[in-house]
Amino acid sequence: MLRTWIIPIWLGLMTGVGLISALLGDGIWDALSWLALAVPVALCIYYWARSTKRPSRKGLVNRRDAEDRLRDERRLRR
Amino acid sequence: MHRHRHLRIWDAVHRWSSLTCTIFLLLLCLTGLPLIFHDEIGRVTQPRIHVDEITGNTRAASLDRVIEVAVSQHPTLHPLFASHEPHEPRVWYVTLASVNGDKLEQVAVDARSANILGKPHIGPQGVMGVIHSLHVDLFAGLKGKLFLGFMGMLFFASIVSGVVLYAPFVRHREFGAIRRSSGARSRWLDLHNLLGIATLLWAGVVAFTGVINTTSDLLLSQWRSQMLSQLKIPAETHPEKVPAQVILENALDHLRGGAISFIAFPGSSFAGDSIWGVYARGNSALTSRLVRPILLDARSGNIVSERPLPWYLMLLLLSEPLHFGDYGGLPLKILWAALDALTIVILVSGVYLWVVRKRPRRAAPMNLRKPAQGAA
Repeated sequence: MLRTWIIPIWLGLMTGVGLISALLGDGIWDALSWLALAVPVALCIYYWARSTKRPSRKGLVNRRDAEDRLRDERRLRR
Repeated sequence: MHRHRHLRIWDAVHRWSSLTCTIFLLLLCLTGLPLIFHDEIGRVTQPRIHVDEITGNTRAASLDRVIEVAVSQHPTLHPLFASHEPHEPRVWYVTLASVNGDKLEQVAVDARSANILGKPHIGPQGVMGVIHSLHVDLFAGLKGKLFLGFMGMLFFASIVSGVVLYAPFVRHREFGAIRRSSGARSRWLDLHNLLGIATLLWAGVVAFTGVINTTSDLLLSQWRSQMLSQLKIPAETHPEKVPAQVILENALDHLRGGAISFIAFPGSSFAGDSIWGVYARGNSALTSRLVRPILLDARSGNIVSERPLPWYLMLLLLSEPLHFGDYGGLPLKILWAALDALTIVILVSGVYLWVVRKRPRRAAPMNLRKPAQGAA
């Protein structure tokens, strides 16, 4: 449960800092806001770009997907 | 199976609140994109107001003279507001309107020489004007605003329900893991979940502040009538006897620090029928947004109220920057645009996921029909 939420919570904190700090002041506060808000944007772009690459030849990703599918099927049968 | 039913309800909330508002949200996101940069676009398309350096006598001209000069440019209109841009007290922007409020004009006047510096356009013009209307009220005035506000509330509901659905959908997978070889639907479902959870707080704040902004007309008129009823000054129209300069000086005497943001003339939306409103802004980044009103009797020039704005107008004043993203320079605007673009991807992928959904319901009636045919 915690593992699922730890990164989303951290991203939420970053966004919150980014939204508020530029309101509080100029200069360094603006810069802090840019850095903090860039985190969720950069993360989206990173993971999206990673997903458009062809699956690796070693089959690592395929195997992981297959494991996922197996687990889902098992859960459905239960 | 209580938990299962719970999720089915949230799933239905997410599906139907999203589908209802998606087309309007798509419009809001697409029109919002250029509006983020409307200052930058305006700087290119509008002539710049150039302020000359005056050496020697730099005393301020009387506000009455400034108003007189502005009215001489538009003799059929009457003045509503006189305002300063932040950090530029050398220019008065006088806003004038026709009696029915259809026509609005602005004149920039040098606050020292009372020379005319220019006639800036009010609000976005041309293509930007169309984009602005599509974003704000769909060309339908208050009704259009409130309709878009309702769509914003549905979007907010879809964000909340989306968060509830996030955990059961990504369980057992690493954050950001996107299935690549289980078909396009799985891949887009994972992307939809990832982008949704990463932009969650931003989208929530922009949706919430957007909804608040749609109620600005209502909040303002509520405050105006409340304020006037509390002042216990008969709301009769009197010819203003006290010169504007005296009003300004009386208000300035009362201001310790801070600067004038704008002056609302009697009869305008930020003042009473015989009440002047002088609005001061603070010097810090936050207090420069939260104006403080000083209300003055138009007949005596005395200050009648200095009470701060009520909480709901403070909320409205804070909702503007948090919706527009115009409070942290160009880099913040670029990030705002990037988050807006990601929201467009979430909306479109959401519709896609619904279109190519697995359809258990279509299969069910066919299965039911078989035994019925067999029985016949």
